[in-house]
Amino acid sequence: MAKRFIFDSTRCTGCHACLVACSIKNKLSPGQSYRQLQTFNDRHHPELINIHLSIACNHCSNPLCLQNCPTGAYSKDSATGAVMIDSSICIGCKYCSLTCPYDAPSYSEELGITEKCDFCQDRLEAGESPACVQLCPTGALDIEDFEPTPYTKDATNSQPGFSETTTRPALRIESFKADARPVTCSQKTKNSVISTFFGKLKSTDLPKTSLSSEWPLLLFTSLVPLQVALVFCHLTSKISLNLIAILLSVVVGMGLSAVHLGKIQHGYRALLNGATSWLSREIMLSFGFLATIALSVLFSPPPLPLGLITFFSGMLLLLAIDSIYSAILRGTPVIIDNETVTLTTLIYIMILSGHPLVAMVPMSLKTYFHFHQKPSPFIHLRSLQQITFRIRLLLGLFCPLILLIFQPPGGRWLLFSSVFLAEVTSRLWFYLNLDVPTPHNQMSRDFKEAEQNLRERKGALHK
Amino acid sequence: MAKYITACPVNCYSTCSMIVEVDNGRIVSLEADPGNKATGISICLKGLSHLERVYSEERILTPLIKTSGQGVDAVFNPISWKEALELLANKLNHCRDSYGAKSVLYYTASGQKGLLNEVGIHFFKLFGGCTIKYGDLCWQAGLEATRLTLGANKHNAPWDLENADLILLWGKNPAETNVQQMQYIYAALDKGAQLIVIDPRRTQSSERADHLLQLRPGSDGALALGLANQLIKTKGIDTDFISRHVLGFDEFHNYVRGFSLERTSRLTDIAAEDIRLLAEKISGSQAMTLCCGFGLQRYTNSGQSLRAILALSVITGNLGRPGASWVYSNLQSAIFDKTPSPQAAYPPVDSDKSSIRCSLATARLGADILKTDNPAIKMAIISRANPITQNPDSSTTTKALRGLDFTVTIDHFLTDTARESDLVLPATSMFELSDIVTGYWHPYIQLRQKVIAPVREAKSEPEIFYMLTKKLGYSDEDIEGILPFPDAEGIETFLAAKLAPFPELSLEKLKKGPILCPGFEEVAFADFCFPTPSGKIELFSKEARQLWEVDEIAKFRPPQESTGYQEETVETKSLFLLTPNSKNHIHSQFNNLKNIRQFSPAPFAEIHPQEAFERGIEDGERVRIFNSRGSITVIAKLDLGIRTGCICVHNGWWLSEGGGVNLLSHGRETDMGHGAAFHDNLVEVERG
Repeated sequence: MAKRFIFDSTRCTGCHACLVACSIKNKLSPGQSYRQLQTFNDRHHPELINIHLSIACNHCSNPLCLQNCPTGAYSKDSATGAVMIDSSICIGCKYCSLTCPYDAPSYSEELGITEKCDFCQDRLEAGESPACVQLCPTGALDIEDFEPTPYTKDATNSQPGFSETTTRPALRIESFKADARPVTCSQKTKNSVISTFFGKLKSTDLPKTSLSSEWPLLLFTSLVPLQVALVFCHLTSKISLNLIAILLSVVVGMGLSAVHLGKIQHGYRALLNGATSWLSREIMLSFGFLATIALSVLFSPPPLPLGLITFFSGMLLLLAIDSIYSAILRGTPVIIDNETVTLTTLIYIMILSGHPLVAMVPMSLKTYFHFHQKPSPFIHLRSLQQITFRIRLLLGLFCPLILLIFQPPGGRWLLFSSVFLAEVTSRLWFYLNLDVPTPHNQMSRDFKEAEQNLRERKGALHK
Repeated sequence: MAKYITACPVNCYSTCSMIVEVDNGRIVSLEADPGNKATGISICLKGLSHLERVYSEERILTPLIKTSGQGVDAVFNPISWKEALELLANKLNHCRDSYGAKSVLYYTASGQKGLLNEVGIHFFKLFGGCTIKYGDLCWQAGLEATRLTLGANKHNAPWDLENADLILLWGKNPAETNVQQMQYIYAALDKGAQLIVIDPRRTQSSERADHLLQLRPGSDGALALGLANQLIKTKGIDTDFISRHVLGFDEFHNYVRGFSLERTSRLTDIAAEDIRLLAEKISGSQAMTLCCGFGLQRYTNSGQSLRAILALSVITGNLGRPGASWVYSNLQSAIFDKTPSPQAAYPPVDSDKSSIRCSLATARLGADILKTDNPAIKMAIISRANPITQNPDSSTTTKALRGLDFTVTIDHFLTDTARESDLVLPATSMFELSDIVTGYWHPYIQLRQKVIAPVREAKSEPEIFYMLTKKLGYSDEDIEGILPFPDAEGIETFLAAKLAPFPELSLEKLKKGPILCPGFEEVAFADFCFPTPSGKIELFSKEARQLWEVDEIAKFRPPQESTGYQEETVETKSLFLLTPNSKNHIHSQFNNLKNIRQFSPAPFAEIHPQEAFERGIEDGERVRIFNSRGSITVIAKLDLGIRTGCICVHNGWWLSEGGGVNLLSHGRETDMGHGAAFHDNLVEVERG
């Protein structure tokens, strides 16, 4: 029978014993744990209840980690439903931790691989509860047998910090009802003090990715559209260039993208899960693209069928890249997003093949997306992000318009350079904002929402 | 793999029973032992961290001798046990010969509970004497208040809390300090009970409460008297219970008449309506359990305050029935104590005749060391204690220790006190010596089992004192019957002798798990026998005046160091410094561990935004907290849950970590019981 965790936030005191229980059970270094605890209203807004969320892997019925892992290191135990990772297969690409909405897979810098809660499989087999459950001193954690059922959202039972997702987490939450009243405090604080305080309070959001670790992927995903566009224009004789240079740049790009792996030497395993993982497919398609360019170099000038195959393998690679990020963001498909590299490539092709006015259509569309797409609610716009946002607008729309109006000599290449730089900046903006929801950031967002709602309600009453 | 049942011996309500799993001589896991009904649900964060504590890289595992420096700059070198004992024996001999044995201070506290802790005193009796402290840092005023009123310190079984329909948590935050009590609070709430919390802070324990009364620190007694007045006025009392079991109700009634809702409101800074409402809830309750914490009885007025609070249970007849109890301290399991607490900590009347001079007040340790003469204190042996961090007035304690010729500390880590010592000896952990542990919340007798050999060169106190006696030249005949032989057999013989008077208990049985103490009462005082001088519950206590020179009635006086009780002529910006315990420490223990440090990385001060903004302090900035006694600089954490007029820094941070709250406290005693009134503590706060 499949098992699931039960978390009862009406009993959790935020004592952290579950984290240390997990740490001891899994022989992790002190201070590390596969479980995390988030607190709602830790600064005690007098009109809001203070509650905690203790969360580990929810052993989802539809685990995105398992689906998206390029190596097939994940498996689901048929008896308990536990989602397990085989650390001997993991290559440390961290893609699973980006796709998991609950921040369950945890990457170990020390080991270069990802580890996670295995539901204390050995304890379950011995008829015992997982260590975190056994060592919860208030009875807030438990497990139970359950029949996985399709996902339904129970709006009356919303637990701050926890977002319902289509992954169908094997977790039952007993929580305060949405209208739970906080304790009535005898001390009354002026509304102005409360709102000034929360207005000033620094955000505690923690982005899950950072440019310092993601820069190879930024370069890789910026290079591919350029490469595909150049190959197309070369094959259609719109421009002429040395295919060997393109070939080398593809090799460099692929090499760079492997740098972020925890286990580069085992990188080949990323090809093992083409069946469900877009990352695996992307890597396969990268090799395909590389091979077709290599053939095109050998049979220069390439015959038409080879030319077509080369271009289409490049386009498939672009679609794969877009799909990877769609999976991470779990919202809008990236293909109709500001960040689509497929659309970027089409813009490049149009400009390079001498149709800059046509290119203005997708460029305007992307700018629309850019405006429309609000910055991730999980992150405050930091200064770097504001700068990139503005540069993107300047280079991607205003400069091209001016160039098109004044038509200076060498305008096509100026225009292309401007748009290319805009797209790289846009990509940078994307990585800076590539912040998937985690329980931590979800909690912080839920609190901000609750606090603002109170403020608005007060404002309305005041009027 | 082998599994053993043992018990957590730190100074905590819960005193959990644990199952230890040992593999190849190494502890691999800790779990709760369901054999203890009160703690079987699980052990806490700190209990789990014992594992890291035993194997921590920072643990002292050889004797250390100081080569230079003091405090944070102290430098130590390892030495052998042979050298360490020779040095110690020489110093002891020198002190005894030159100044008399009483020039040696033997200071112990609550770091690790167990019956074997008495061997130190046996050693010193053999040695010819020493000086020790009287009183206690922790709970004396409340124990004495309870003893004066009820005659004994005991309460209903922990699980009986479920039967209450009104739970009053008065200055207690069990979610952090007694986490297993929460299961019973939740069970009662699920059955429809009401929870009221009285605390200057909105704590984790108050989250599911109906009301939180954030009273002015030190005004607990006034609130209780005001409530009593209101209860009497509204006939919310149990007159039948009073006439049968209570002495001095009329005198009490006469006195509380002065505590109108308005006056009580002024004193406590709680709205009159809130006080009236609470009185209404108390009178409407069929079974009220009043859980009173320890923090509120560390003021100069707190013995009387606790008598006043306890009076609420008394006049409403909430004693001696299921769900109706005064839960302060449950000493039912203290069956091995020759003198019960709190008297065990009082200085003996005939101290002069004894070789053991019991003359230093715990609350004024530093000052009393400095002023002691004939003979003056020349050296100190400190065990299970970290007085520099935990006793009031850290600066004076440090000065006093620095003034000694030689200081030895027996401990697990280089605490502030160890850093002020000339010699540090590596103590055994709870897993490296068997002992018997009793609690003060649940009623079990538990065996703390030795489950591993001492790590490297750690040694237990029985072994250290045994070796020391040999080094001092005593023969086995001299030692026979005074100190246990420190091998497994010797220790078991010692413990078995302790158990011998109780046929229900034996080491064999205790190895299998905790045992309810002989004479255990699930409902305390169910027989309505109160061992006071009058045999009744005493709201009027002659003993109170005889022993402590306080009023026979629990009269209210503001704490000596306080603000806001009178219309102040000069506007004061002083704040009450609150120094409670947290879930992350037991006093100064545990916080140095990585498992704990992740949740509690650096000392911080909770302050209400209003107080912070008035002082230009922003969240996350450093604040300097100071008074005439000292100052500390910590991070400000703005929190709407704390009462204005207060600032809160958890106690237990080491001075070396920058959070030594006792740099700010003053060494003075509580009004009764020789407790430490370090919560009489006003500070100023500014940007750091």
